Amino acid sequence: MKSLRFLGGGIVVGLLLSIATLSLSQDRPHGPEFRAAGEALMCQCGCGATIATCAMERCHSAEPIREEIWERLQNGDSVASIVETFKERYGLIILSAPPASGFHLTAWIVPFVVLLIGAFATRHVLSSWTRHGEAMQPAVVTSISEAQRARIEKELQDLS
Amino acid sequence: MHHLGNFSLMAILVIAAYAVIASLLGVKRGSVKLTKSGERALLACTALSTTACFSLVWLLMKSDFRFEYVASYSNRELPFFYKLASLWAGNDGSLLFWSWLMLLFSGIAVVTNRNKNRELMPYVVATLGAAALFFTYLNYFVTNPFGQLGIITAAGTESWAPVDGRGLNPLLQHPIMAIHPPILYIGYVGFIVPFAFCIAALASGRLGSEWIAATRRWTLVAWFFLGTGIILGGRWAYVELGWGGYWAWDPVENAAFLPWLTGTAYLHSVIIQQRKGMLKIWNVVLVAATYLLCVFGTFLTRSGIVSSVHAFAESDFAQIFLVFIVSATVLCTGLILYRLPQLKSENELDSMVSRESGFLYNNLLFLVAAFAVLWGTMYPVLSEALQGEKAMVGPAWFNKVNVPIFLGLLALTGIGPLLAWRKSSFESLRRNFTWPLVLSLATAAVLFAFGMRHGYALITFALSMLVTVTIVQEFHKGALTRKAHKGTSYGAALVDLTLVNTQRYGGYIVHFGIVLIFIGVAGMAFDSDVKADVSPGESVHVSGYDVKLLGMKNGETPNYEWLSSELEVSKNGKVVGVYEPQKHLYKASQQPTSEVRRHATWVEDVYLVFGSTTAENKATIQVFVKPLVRWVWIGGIVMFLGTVVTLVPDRRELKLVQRSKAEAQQRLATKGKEKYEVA
Repeated sequence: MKSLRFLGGGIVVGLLLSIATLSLSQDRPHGPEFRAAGEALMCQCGCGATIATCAMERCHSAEPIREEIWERLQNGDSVASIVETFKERYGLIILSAPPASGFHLTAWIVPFVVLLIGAFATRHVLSSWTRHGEAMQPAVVTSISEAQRARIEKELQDLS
Repeated sequence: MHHLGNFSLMAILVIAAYAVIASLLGVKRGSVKLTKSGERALLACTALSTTACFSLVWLLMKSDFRFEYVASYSNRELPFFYKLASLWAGNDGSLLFWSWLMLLFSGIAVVTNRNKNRELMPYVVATLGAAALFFTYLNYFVTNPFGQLGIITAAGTESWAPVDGRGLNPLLQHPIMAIHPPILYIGYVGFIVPFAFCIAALASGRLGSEWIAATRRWTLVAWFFLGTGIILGGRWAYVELGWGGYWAWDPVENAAFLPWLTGTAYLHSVIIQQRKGMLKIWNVVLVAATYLLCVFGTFLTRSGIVSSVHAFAESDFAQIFLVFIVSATVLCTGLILYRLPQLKSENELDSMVSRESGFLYNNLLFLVAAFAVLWGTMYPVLSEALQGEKAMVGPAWFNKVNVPIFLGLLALTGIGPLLAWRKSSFESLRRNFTWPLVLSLATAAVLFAFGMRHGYALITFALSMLVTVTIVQEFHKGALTRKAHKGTSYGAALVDLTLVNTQRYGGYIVHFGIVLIFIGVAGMAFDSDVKADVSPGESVHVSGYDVKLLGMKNGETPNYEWLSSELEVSKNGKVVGVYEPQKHLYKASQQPTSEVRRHATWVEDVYLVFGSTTAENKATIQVFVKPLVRWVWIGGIVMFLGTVVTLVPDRRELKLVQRSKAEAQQRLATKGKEKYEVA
């Protein structure tokens, strides 16, 4: 039992220590901007990955784009402007997410519209089931017989 | 051998058709002989499918390159294990393998139900037979793996064989990849049995607890394998692809994730049907949707309608697949509409705030998550069709849309068990929620004080604490009650408690596994990496680690040539390990792959990739520091242990079986009485 508690405690402490150290990491050579720009753009080599994740050897698409992102970030360009530059050059196909405007706004809002409709529908179903239940008041049980009590005891015993 | 394979496939077409007809005729005429004959026909199909599969394996083992499939996916130097894996490396072979697994499951379903569920079985066999017919039609007419290579000469087409095969894709030459597809396929095809029982229940009108009891274990097994397949796929991507991640929201990954989500929703909602006789329509819809999404996933992988690094480059049977999916959907919808009056709930809810409503909202979020994944996967096709320009949907979109939904699910994982069945009073809510809420808020406050500013990560860790405390509280309260009742030790009470209700407590273990996976995934918010060309003796620095190149080596095996860089990893000036990430160049395909190496700890992984060498004889290395990633794999293991616990039969399950038996006997008695009265 002690070892069980020790193991459980160890896992929790280990996890918390692991999580706490995250806040102390400072050194980010590639930085979040580089990663964000890379993740916002799709690789054009046909691998289906983003510029940040394409693992093709010396990829003819990802490598030059990574270099350009790096240079532009060094020059002080923002992630948004870098992404916009590539969008103008390649079209929508380079973006890893549809723009949140015009027709493509649907890509962003439809899942949440479905969530809202679903939430209303669920609430409606719950409400209708519950109202019905309230209308039908259950019979009030004032006492139970010894036979019933014995049966409950037996069933509880069977369950354990 | 190929004649045997082809003959087996042809025979399945005939015998599966017979199984369908005999089973349905058997029901119509009330002939036990016919229905039994249908079952035996399906068993014969299982044996024939095994023969067809074995024939292809034989040709692969013999390196018989007269056959296009063998020449395309294997070569002479391929180790035995990978020759076997060639069976599912290409589209034709993997579909044959799929059919075999499906018929194997069908055969097991027939054998295990030979003395039970007799009124459902003819419909079950008809459904399984129809599916076998469809997939075998594909195997024989569309994706036949026994096709031979030939040269056209003046005298006609002559058989021809290359000296060696093109070999197995090097990325697939990894132990995980050799087992990941079969495990995933077992998950996919396993859902056909619950689907067949669901169709049987709808067709026969026996919509009580019988089909639920008959399929619970099948559903859990399929769900278990699908989840294991997904985790193994992530692990393979992590250790083999060399981009430092394990999940990219690729359409083929999504295809496996979709049925997993709906299957998980079903595993929760079925509890309500078992306990309260409610959500009957919902459950049949979920089972049907899960199987159809499995088939849809196969369609996505093989039709070529979406681009994916995993997809098989074939597109000539998209329409046939669509016909199957549409037909099955129409059949399910028609049967559900026909049986609608019988699918009404037997009970009502006592309160809007109860465990039952928690389950409903949980189902809603699972379904919305599945919809969001499906929507994102299909959006490029949709946007191209409607706008004429394809808009890609990558991780950026999936993460932004799905993270809030999945955090909602994580929150419900913690909140659900704290709600009482039937009705939660204010007092019970206060009592149950106090510690989980206090500790989760404290976690967020401590992490914030330590400097963590990533919003989603903070919420994830706080919710993870909420769920963990809930689970601990549930086990602790149960164990204390049991200890008092039985007079055993706390540890014994804990084990006893779990075994008495494996479904509930196994489920909590699965929930804890999910928590660990969430924690591991949240660690991604703190990833860092560096890429540099370095000479021997030079170092790169990332997140407190120094990685120094000591030197480079090269060599070869019969299968590939290799080049490695020797990297010394230090933290705070102390050497923590020396690793040799490699580059392989496979001889048959001339395709290079990266063999990454990791310095893995409980806190983080230092992920080392050797890119290549430059003209100046420098090594291009990439170093990722990936916090908490190990917890994803540990979470996977915990999840699967939890699933194993839920598969252990408990007393409640035995009671359910007894109840369905009693129901069946009562029905028989009533029928007999009615007949007697009519007479």
